[in-house]
Amino acid sequence: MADPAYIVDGVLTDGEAWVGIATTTLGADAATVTFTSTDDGQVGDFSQYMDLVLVCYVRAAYAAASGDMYLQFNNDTGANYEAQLFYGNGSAASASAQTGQVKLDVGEVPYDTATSNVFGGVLVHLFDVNSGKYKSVLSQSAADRDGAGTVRVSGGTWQSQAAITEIDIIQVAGDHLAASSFSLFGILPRMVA
Amino acid sequence: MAVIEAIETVYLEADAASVEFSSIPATYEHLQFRLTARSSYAATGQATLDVQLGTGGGAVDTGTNYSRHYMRGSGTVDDASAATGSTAIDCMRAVNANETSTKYSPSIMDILDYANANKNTTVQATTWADKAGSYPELGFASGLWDATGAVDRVKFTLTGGSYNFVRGSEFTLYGLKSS
Repeated sequence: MADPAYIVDGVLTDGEAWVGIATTTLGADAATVTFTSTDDGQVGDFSQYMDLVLVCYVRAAYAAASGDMYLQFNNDTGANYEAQLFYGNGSAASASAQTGQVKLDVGEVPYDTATSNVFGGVLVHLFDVNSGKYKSVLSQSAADRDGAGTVRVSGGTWQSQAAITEIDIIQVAGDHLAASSFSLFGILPRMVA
Repeated sequence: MAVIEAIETVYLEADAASVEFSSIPATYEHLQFRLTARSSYAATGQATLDVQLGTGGGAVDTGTNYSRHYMRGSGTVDDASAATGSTAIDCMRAVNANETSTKYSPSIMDILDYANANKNTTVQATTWADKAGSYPELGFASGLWDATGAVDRVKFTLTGGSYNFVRGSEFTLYGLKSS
């Protein structure tokens, strides 16, 4: 088995701290996009990273102007997610909190009735994904719908001490639209003293 | 050559009053801190996580040379505040000791063009303190250090050093290169 890139000739090194794990660009509408740890000591093995970063450029197929995008971890569908949302819609700022949710709200993206070809960006930072801490998330989203829309900053918690080994990305309703893209990065700590 | 390098990681094996990064090399364009922190203060809610900066190989500046703007969502409350003439930039939060023991607050703080000795230094941060029940706090902040020295030292404390960072708090400093 080949060594990870940060081991060179058997020696631990500090190279690129952000490692591209995988990118999915949808060829057809899909209800769920999933990233799963390969658990093999290679690039796709989540266990070697401190943080994960998810970069999404998304539109959904459901008949609405916009809607919320969610994450679930390790197939946990219990009421173990909570979030604080903080957003602006062009004329006002507002906030809301969520507790006891079955999925984690990470942002808002354009849906089917928004101006054609408008996609929304969602950036999600997942912290200490292999620690015994509850897993915490910071996210930002932008759903600009050409004269309307929202921008949002969010914090979230998955109330679990388990290491994150799977991430499911879903919409509040309907599918992710074809051409939506999702990229996952692994963030390494400093490894050499 | 790596574009983003991990410069230093500090993982607290024991509670500590402060976490300090010194001798930060001037060889990057920008800095980014990624951290998860928890406060020893025996209360619910969150402590302010403060930042002080230093230059020239000396100690951090403890004078009234810092400003910040902070806006937050907390439950259904959205508001904003500002401070000037402060002895630190209180731009992040850390959950207190009476919150669930496995909760740590995540934050990201960027320091742009930190090695430029002709510009005052600014920071921007995003932070999340998950308090049980009502009034968790999601914050977005800017900060200014009214000095032009190249930043080579960064110190983190909780509420002006009143509380400790709890064991398990973790800080990593990254350097971003543009070429």
